[in-house]
Amino acid sequence: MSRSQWRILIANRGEIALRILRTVRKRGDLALAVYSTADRNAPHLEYADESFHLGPSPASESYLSIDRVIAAGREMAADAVHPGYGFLSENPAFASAVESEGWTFIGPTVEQLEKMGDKGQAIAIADSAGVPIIPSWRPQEDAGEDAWQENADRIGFPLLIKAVAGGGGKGMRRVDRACDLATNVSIAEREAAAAFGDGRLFLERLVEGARHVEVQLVGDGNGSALLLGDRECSLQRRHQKLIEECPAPGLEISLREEIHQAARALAISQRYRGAGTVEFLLAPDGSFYFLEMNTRLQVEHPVTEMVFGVDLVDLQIQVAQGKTDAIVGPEPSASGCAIELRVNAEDPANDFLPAAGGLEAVIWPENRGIRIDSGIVSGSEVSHHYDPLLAKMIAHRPSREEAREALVEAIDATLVAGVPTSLPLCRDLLESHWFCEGKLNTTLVEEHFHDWTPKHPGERWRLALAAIASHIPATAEGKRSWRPAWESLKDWRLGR
Amino acid sequence: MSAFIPPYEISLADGSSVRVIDGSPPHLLVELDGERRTIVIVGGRQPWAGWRGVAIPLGKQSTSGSGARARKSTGTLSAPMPGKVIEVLVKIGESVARGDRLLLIEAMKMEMPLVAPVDGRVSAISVCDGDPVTPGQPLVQIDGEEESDA
Repeated sequence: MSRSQWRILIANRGEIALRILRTVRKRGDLALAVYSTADRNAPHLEYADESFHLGPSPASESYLSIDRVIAAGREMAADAVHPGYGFLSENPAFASAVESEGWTFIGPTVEQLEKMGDKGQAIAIADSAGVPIIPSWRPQEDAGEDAWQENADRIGFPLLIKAVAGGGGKGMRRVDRACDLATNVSIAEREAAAAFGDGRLFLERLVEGARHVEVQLVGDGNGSALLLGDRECSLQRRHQKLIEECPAPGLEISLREEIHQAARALAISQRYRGAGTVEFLLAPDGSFYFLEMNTRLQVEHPVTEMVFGVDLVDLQIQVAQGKTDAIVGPEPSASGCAIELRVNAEDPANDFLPAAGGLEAVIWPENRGIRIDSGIVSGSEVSHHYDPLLAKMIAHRPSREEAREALVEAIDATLVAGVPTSLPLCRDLLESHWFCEGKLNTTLVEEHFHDWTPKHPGERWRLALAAIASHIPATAEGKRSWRPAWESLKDWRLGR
Repeated sequence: MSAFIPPYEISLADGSSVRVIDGSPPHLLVELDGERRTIVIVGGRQPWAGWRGVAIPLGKQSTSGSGARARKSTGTLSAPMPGKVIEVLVKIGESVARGDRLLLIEAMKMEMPLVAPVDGRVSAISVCDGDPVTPGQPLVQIDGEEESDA
């Protein structure tokens, strides 16, 4: 691509639309934004070179509509499309539609999206690339009790009996001892048949106390891949991450190397193109298993950017333009630790119920060396039509403990008023001994924070806060709050 | 009303006080009962506090006094010109009458007293002896005597 300036359609909204926009503009390319009716006053429109109204607020009629996004691209004469994450980002039909228009899809090939999007295929590909997969067994129709017992022994106990047609934990049974297998299989069979009309089962190793560790890669599409370290993303609720960090804490060098090599082997075997993440379950005994590959930019990409001093969106665009010098060149070195927390509009004290409403005040920390990737300002409306993620706060420091402390202090200097948010829970997670010691696993939030409630100020503090507020003039905090979030990004590549 | 410049103290209803140590709105470092915290404070019609990640709505009424419906007249003493504080003559919580001397400042090589603009109790003092002051900088806040709600 020899053209000097690209017209890049950003097929997304919220914080990630702004994040991509920033790089597009820094490169000197043109940023073409799209929006739904609910987003007609969204901040990302203010910084776009051009924008196009996709349609009504429901995602299916706007950000998830291939036809409408393609229509937007035609209207604004796009050269390329960056899909962000979520919405159409991993949809092969969308990538294919983009390419049919003669535009560049900033992401992997259509075939790679198809393969990795199919869980069964992805596992088979990982297996053939030599990546460890969770031991499992899918019996033939006529498998006898001996075959069940034999394969259960091979997989090892504890194991899970799962329904082929299952999901959401239904038809799932845990078996701890070989002698309990047969009974549980017959119960699970009946349950699965009743719940799904399909009694077929399979066995899978139960990985207890596992961590979620993932590896960031950028492939050039020709069999080379740049490996940009790993991330720890174990703190989750309902399989949605809350706090992520780079690098994953406390991994033995040899284990880290093994995990990296597995991810690299997978990417190279597919001649993977663009940014991708290989996700693993890491068991307490150091064994690790392929979970899935995400064929897009991830929400938590900033922690990697901070530690490696790279701009992943810029790398994505370079690869899309066929410029692969950065991929085949020397790998950037890691420096320090970065921790990210997600500011979600949800009530962590009420089963993480998503919240909607107007944001009466949004204040971010200032001059604290905190990167803020935000899609909100004072006065923004949080719509129930979309994901509750409002913003991300990222601290990068020489050590993990310094990053942790900086993030806790940053939370204290933050105000998001109008909807309940994940901020106070994230603060307590960061202050918990589990986090401090790096002893994380994917069920920690559910196990230890299920009856969590936010700490409120006592009567004395309430009095004091009100007294202080009455001595503060009504400032124009609305306009100011936007700038730091935007401005802070000018220097985030400096590290802090 | 322009903002006080930390450090300053604000009196609470029970006669104790909270210290604002550093920062500028909306970010303040505050000390209460020996506990130091960074907080976020937004004034205006609906004031909010950011406290350990929780957004706390604050009622507008409440510097001091128990009656929520009590009306007050309030006065802020600001520096009339650039200069230096020689001596603060009052303490937080002290009752003063209009015209009482609150502090002495030195300006244009002269020493001059600054007096209370209203009757009331001293609710905030933002300067110490020796501090330089700039024109318009709030120095002392006085919460007026409560008028009964008759």
